[in-house]
Amino acid sequence: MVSPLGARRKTPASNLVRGCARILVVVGAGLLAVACTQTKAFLSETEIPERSGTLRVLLMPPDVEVSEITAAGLSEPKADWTARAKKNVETALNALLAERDARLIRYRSASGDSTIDDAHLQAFKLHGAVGNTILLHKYIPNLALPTKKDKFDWSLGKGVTVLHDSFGADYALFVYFRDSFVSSGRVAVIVIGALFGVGLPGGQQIGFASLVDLQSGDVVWFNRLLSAGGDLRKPDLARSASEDLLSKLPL
Amino acid sequence: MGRIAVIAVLLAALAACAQYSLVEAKKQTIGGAYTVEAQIAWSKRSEGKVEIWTVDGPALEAVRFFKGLDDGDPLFKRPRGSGEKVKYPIYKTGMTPNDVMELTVDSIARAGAGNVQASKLRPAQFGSVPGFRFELTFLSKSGLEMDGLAAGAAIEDKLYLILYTGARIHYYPKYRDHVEQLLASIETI
Amino acid sequence: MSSGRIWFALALMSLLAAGCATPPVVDVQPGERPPLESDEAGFWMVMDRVEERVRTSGHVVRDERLNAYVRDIFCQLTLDYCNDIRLYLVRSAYFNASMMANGTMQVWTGMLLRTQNEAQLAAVLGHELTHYLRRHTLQRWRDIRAKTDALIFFQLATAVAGVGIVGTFASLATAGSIQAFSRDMEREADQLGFEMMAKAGYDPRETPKIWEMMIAEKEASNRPKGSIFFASHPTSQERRDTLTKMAAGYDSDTAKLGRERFVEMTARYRGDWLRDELRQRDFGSLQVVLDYLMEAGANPGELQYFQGELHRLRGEEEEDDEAKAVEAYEMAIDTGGGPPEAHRALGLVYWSAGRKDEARGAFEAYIEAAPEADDRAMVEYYLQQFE
Repeated sequence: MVSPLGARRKTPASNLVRGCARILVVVGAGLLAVACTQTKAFLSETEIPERSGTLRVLLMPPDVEVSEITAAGLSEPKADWTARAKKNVETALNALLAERDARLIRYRSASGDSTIDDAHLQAFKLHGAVGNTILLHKYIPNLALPTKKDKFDWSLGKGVTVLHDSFGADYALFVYFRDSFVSSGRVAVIVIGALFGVGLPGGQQIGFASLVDLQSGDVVWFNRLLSAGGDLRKPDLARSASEDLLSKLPL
Repeated sequence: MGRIAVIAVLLAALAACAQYSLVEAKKQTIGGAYTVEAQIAWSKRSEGKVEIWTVDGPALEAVRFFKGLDDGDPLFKRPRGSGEKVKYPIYKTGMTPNDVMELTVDSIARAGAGNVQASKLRPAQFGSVPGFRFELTFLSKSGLEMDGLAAGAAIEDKLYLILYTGARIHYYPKYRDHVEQLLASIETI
Repeated sequence: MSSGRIWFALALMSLLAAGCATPPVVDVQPGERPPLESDEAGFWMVMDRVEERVRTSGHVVRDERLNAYVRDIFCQLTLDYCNDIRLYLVRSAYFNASMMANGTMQVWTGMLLRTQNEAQLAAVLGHELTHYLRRHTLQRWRDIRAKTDALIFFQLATAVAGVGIVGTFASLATAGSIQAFSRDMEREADQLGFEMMAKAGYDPRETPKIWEMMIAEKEASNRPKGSIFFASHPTSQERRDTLTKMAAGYDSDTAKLGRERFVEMTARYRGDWLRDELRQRDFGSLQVVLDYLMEAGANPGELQYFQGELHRLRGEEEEDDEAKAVEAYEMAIDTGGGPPEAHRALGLVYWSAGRKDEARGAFEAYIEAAPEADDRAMVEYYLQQFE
C-alpha cells in the first residue's frame, strides 16, 4: 500500500509515543497560542489640538462577529458569543478612553438599534470607502500610492458635519473585530493533519480601528490588529485586545 | 469594510511588482495621441488601454484615460468567470457621442453601480478635434453617492475618453478644478 | 504508513464525528426570534447585517406606491407573517426573488417585468415565504455542515488509507447531494406557494405560466445554462409540469388574476426595467420578454420602441437589424404612447445607414417632440453636420 507520505515504515510503540508528543507540540502551538498579536498603526500629521476639558468620542456601532470553525473549515457565526464579545469590547473601550480623559458616547439611531440613520448614512459609507482604501493602499506594499508616500492624510471632509451636529462629539471612533474559534471537529482535523505533518490554522482574531476628527473630517489614526490567540468572550482578554487595538491612539 | 479586511490580510502576503507609479506635475502624453498638463502629482496604474490616475485611491476619486478603444472593445475588463457568450457593452467604430454616453452609462451599471444617470451631453473641443462632454451621477456598489464627468472624441476611428469620477462628499469637488485644467490643456498630437 | 497512526486517527475521528443530535425543525411562528445560543441565531445576526447593507445599497427601489402595492399582495397571502417579513424591491434585470433566514425578502424588478398579473406574483411571494416558514436556510446549512464534516473525515480517512482519487468523487457526491436537498426545498416552496395564492383567491392555473416563459427565455439566453446535477432548483420544465398537474381540474369563475391593477401599478416603471434588460445585451432573452409583453398588449408603442432598441444595439448584419430597427421605431412613432427618444434613435440609425435626409427629419422631429431635451445641443450639432 502506498501512502501519500512515501514508503512504509515499521513503527514500534516507542516511535508512536514520540510521534504523539510531536503532534501535541504542533497542535498546542496552534491552539493554545500565547496571544501572538501584531499591530500596525498610522497617524496623520494633524496636530491634536490643546484640549479644554474632557474629550467627547462618538463610538460608531462596533462591527463585531465571533464565529466557530467547523471540521471542514466553514465559518459558523455565533450570536451569543458575538453579543458577549460586543458587550466586553464596549466596556473595555469605555474604560480605556476614560483613562485618557475622554468620554465615550454610543451612537444611537432614531430607531434605537445599531443601524445608521439616513442623515448619517453617506458619511458612514464614505468612511467605509476610506477605510477600505487605507487597508488596500497602506497595508499592501504592492498597492502603495506614490502620492501617499510617507503621508497619511485621508479625510471625510465636511461629510462629518452631520455627525458633529447630531452628537456634539470631538471625534468618532470606528471599530471592527472578527474572532473565530475551532470546533471540536476542527480540533480533530488539525490533530490528524498534524499526524501527517500538515499544519492547519486554528482560530484567528482580526481588528481594525480608526479615529476621525469631527471638526476637520481628518482620519487622524488608523490601526490594524492580527492575532492567533485572544478571546473577546472573556472580559479580561477583550480588554487586552481592545488595548492592543487602540495602540498609538493619539488621545 | 469587512470583506475587504479579510482580502487585505490575505493579499498582504502576495509578492508582486508595485502597481502604481508617480505622475509628475508636468506635461504628460496619453496613448501617443495627445498631451495634458498635470498641475499636481498623481499616482498612476495601467491596465491595457486604460490608464487610471488617482491621488487618494480609485474608490474615492479617479481619472480614467481610455486610450484608443477599437471596434469591439469594452470600457471595463470582463469580470472573471462570466460565461463566454455573455455580452458586454462595446465600442463600435463610428459611434456618435450619444452612443458613447450610452456605452459609458451601461458599462458603469454593468460594473455594479446603481441609479446611473447621464446628463448635459454637448459638443466640446478635445484639443483641436471636435468632441463631446457629459456628466454623470451614480451610486457605488455600497451605496455611496458618486459624481462624474466625461470628455472624449474619436481620433482616427478610435475612441479617446477621459472619465473623472469621485465620491460626492469631499473627493469629487476636491480635484474637479484640476481635472478641468487637464481637459483645457489637451493638445492633440 | 504506520498502522498505529491510522488506528489513532480513526479512533479520534470516530469519537468526534459522532455529532450531537439536532432537534427536529418546526415551522417559524409569527413574531418568533430564535434563542441567542442557537445556530439559527447566528444566521439571523449575519443576515441582519446583510439586510442593512441591502437596505442602504444603491439598488433598492424607494418608490412608496410600488412598495405598498407589492406588500399588499404579500399580506393577502399571510396575515400572520405580514409584519415579520421586510420586502425589498431591488432594481435589477432578470427574473429573481430570494428570502433570507431573518425575514428579508428581495424581489428583483426583472421579476415584476416578467410576471403578468397579481396571481403570478403572488405565487412567487408565497414560494419565498415558504423558505422562511420552513427554515430552509437553516436546514440547508445544517445539511451542508453535516455533509462537509463527513466529507472531510472521509477524505482524511481515504488519505490515511492512501487512496487519493476517491476524495474527488466524494466531493462531487457531496456537492450533488447538497444540491438535491436544495431542490427538494424548492419543490416544497412551489407547492406551498401554490396553496397560499389559491387560498387567497387567485387563480392557480396562472402558476405554470411563468415557467413557460422561463423555459423559452433560458433557451434563447446567452447566460451559461449550468448542469442539472448542480442546479439548486428543479428544471423549469419540472416546475411547470408539477404546477400544471396541481392546477388540473381547477375551475372557478371567481378566482382573480389581478391583471388590470397590476398593469396600472407597474406601467410607469416598465421603460426603466426594459432599459435594465437592454443593458445586459442578452438579446435572445429580451426578445422572449418583449414577445410576451407584446402579446399581453399594454402600451404597444413603448414596446415597439424597445424592439427598435434591441435591433439598434444588436446591430448584426445577418439579422438585418438595421432595417428592423427602422421599422420598429417607425411603428412606435406611428402607434404613439412611446418616448420621444424614438425619433432620436431613428435619426441615429438612419445616419449610421448613410440616409442623411431621413436622419435630419428624425432629429428635427425629436427636437420638436422634446424641446427641453437635455441633449438638445448635441442633436442640433448633428443637424449642423448635415449642412
